[in-house]
Amino acid sequence: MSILEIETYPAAVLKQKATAIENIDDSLRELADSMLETMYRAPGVGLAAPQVGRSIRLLVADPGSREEPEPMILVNPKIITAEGRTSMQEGCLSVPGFTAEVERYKQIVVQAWTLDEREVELELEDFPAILLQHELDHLEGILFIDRISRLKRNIYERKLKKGTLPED
Amino acid sequence: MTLPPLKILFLGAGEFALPTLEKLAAAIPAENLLVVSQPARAKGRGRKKSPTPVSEKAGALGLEQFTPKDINSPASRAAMQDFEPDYLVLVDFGTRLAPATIALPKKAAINLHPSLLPAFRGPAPMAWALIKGEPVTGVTTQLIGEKIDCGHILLQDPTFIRDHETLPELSRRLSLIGAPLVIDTIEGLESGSLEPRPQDENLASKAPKFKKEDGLINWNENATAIFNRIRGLNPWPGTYTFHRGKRIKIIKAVPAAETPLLAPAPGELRADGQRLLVGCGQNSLLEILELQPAGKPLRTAAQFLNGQQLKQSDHFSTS
Ligand SMILES: [Zn+2]
Repeated sequence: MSILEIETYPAAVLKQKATAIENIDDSLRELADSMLETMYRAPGVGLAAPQVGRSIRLLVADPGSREEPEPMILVNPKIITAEGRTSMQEGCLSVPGFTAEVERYKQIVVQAWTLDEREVELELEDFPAILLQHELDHLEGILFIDRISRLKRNIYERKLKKGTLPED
Repeated sequence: MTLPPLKILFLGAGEFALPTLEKLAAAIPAENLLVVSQPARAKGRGRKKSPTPVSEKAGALGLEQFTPKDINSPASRAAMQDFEPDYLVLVDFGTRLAPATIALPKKAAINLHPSLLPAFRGPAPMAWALIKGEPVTGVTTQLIGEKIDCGHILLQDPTFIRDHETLPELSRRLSLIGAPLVIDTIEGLESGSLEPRPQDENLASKAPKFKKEDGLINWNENATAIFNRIRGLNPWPGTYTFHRGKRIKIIKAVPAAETPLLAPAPGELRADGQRLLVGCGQNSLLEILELQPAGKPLRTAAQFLNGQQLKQSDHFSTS
């Protein structure tokens, strides 16, 4: 396991549609472990492979709390049903120093593969659902700032240009 | 994805609020904490303007602060609204909030109250707990509602009142117990594990402010009751009595261990070596440890006894 470098906007890899994973092997398992470690260290609650420069359909997330972590690693995840609307303030390790309210589906069902090659279906609501939609977006080359108003996005771009964003 | 760090609007003034402010400052980035207090005020004879203890601490911690004259004015509210707080945390603030101010935070407005609510609602809960001789008190975090100290209870932490604990000692101890309780409360609300529950009105009691006159000692009460009043009302408003027509502050005392065969009448003074004893109700005795005649420095009982010859008729009285 190791701490990986996180790509930040406007890195090209963040804009690409990631490719499906064909083999679940040890190198993938090691990448997933490192992504979890990187995510916890940041700290973040979710991280998709493109954010560490790998354009493949792998994501890690933890909608749990510090006392009760619930780490998950999903391979080739996709949304099969979605309904309702909700929103919360989101941030992203690839868009440092900026948060915004983003509209999402309230309930989703996600189908994915686990690292032990089981197919799973997850029924998610509220925060875990929002979290996975954010990470699934990364696999499509979409950032949360692509889903907010032009005006709010401009504020971010201007801050980025002026270099007034807080350094980490 | 990352969660945006919580933004907390902290409203406080007195010493009691300091441990909570320090805990919060250690838990979240400085730019996510805005400290609100009253403006510096002229205090004492020097007339030098001094900030509230919270304002002073916020300065020392390098936190941003806001000290408006009127916390409830539309301009103050707009300034606090701009900060977009998730939580409002109010500890020992001393100024009442308007409903629109309470409604400012996105998630909740919470208060740390130094009693086990619904017991001792009001501005003087610790003094009342001491005066009533309660064996146990504690701290409560509550949601702030329109009626003071009647909000839903979030968390509580009880503690035994120590044998000879005074108001400043109890206040210090509860402020230290309260600080982590505020953190636990915010974490509990965040994780959804905390269920606010209404107060039981049948168990409610009040803790109103004291007036100077509440400090006048009634020597017909028993020594324990008088002792509780002395430790509950010092240093403010203080307890006092009259000796030879002059007002005298009783700062520190303890119920005497002995029960004499012939106890002095209520208010009657008796010297026992270097000890100064006063008769109280129900044949009990109070040993005075520290006292202060009007306009004179504080004295121990021994210094007081050395300064004058006690006569047979010497007594403490209510005028
Ligand atoms: Zn992200």
